[in-house]
Amino acid sequence: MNNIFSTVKSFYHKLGSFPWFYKFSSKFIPIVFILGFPIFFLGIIWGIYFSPTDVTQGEIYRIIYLHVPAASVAQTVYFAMAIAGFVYVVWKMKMAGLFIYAMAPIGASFTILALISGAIWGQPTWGTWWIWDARLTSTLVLLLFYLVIIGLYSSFDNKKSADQAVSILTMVGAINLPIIKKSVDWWNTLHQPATIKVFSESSIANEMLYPLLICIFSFYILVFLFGLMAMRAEIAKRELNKSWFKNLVLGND
Amino acid sequence: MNFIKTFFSREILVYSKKSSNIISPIVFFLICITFFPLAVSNDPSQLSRFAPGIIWICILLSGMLSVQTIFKEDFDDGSLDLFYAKDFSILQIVLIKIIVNWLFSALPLIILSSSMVFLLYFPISNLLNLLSSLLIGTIIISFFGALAGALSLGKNSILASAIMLPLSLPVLILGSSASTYSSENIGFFLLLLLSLLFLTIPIISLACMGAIRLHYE
Amino acid sequence: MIDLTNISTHLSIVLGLTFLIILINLVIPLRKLKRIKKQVKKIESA
Repeated sequence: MNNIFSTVKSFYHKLGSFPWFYKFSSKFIPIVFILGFPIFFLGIIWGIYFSPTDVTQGEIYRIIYLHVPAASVAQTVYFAMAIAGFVYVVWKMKMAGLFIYAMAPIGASFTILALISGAIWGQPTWGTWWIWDARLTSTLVLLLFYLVIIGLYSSFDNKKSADQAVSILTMVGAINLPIIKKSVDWWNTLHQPATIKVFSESSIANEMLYPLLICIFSFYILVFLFGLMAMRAEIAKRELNKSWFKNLVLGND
Repeated sequence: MNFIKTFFSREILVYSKKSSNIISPIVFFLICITFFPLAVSNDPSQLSRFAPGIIWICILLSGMLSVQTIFKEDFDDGSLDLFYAKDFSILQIVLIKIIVNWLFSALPLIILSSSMVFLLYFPISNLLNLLSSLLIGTIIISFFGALAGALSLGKNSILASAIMLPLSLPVLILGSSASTYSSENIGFFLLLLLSLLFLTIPIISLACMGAIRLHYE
Repeated sequence: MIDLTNISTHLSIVLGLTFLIILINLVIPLRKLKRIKKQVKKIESA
């Protein structure tokens, strides 16, 4: 029992150390790359070529294999950022602050993907590019929060203050986003009681479900990969003048 | 208690010195209101339908401009440094500043929005709902604006607005919905807004304190 | 198995966008890291 505790504790300490993370990620990234992309292509190809055609929507439903994973990743990344924000504010773990800055563009790009793929899916299927329902509106606001986080960070000169500010904002946003979703939902039930729930998903057949799950899983692996790479680059930027980094870069030549 | 009284009277003194602190929000609010009949439609039935939303949007925008600067002056001339160094309670400072700012910028607007009965043909049966929802909603908006101002201290950009406005979306939605219904349903909407208020006050006060501290670490 | 000619333009746009985003998220950190390494070498050689 003591052994497990001490290994977890030492891993936590290593995780907070920039040099360890940099060296670890340089070995780990190729592994994730080699694992992630085949699964990604497996999911995509299975979903797009091999899964059966939908009865009501035809071929266009296959956008689901990109839209749903993107949306899922977009929300999870923000949630992870909010947890990292909490860790930073409470325990001042530098890695947590860096995590937020590294993941924000990744989350934002996948939110954009989710929004655009959703609109492209919606147009031929339900006749409209956009609708102000709870899900779309809160995803749009999620994108706005991502962009505001990136903007707020860039307005600071001091990285520590930037991390702190961004942590606070991310946490406040994490509480605010469900409230926004609930209030738009509530507003919609008040004002459009007769509208069919436009983007509700009917229960999905198994042959379509399996490639979807694989696609979702592969997106998470890809985002993990992007996160590792982004954190590595940001560590390099912050530790530019430190001797460990200089030795690493110059010693390799 | 002494500190609270002193600081409160200090803030009121600072605010009442410049008449622009009361006049600017009022003028901005009225101008924004005027945009809608001029640019969209001055048909009474349409204006009457959209009046709750229009009023709430203009209140939100006016709040956006007036509440972000509550820490700016003290930060710029160094008073905030002194408060921080002398270990004054930042929480009390934040709360008092928000209250005083609300008294000077939001309260006149709330009183003024009862004139929307005439300007925007706002249905008078919903007036009580409008005023009570504004009362609670503007306080919540002030808190978000204070957080936005605290986070963007020292930066001259539109960033504070960008922070505050998405956070204020639920208030806008709830308040605007509340104002479109007549006073019979008042209890329900007030409960929703009050719950939002009680959620906001502790969390955002903490966040404001953290945001001000980060400029001094 | 579907008929390949049936894949609509919508699907290919979304697919293209996905690949674009994946590409961007791969390339930008790499370039950033390369730039920083180059900067370190330049500082040391000066």
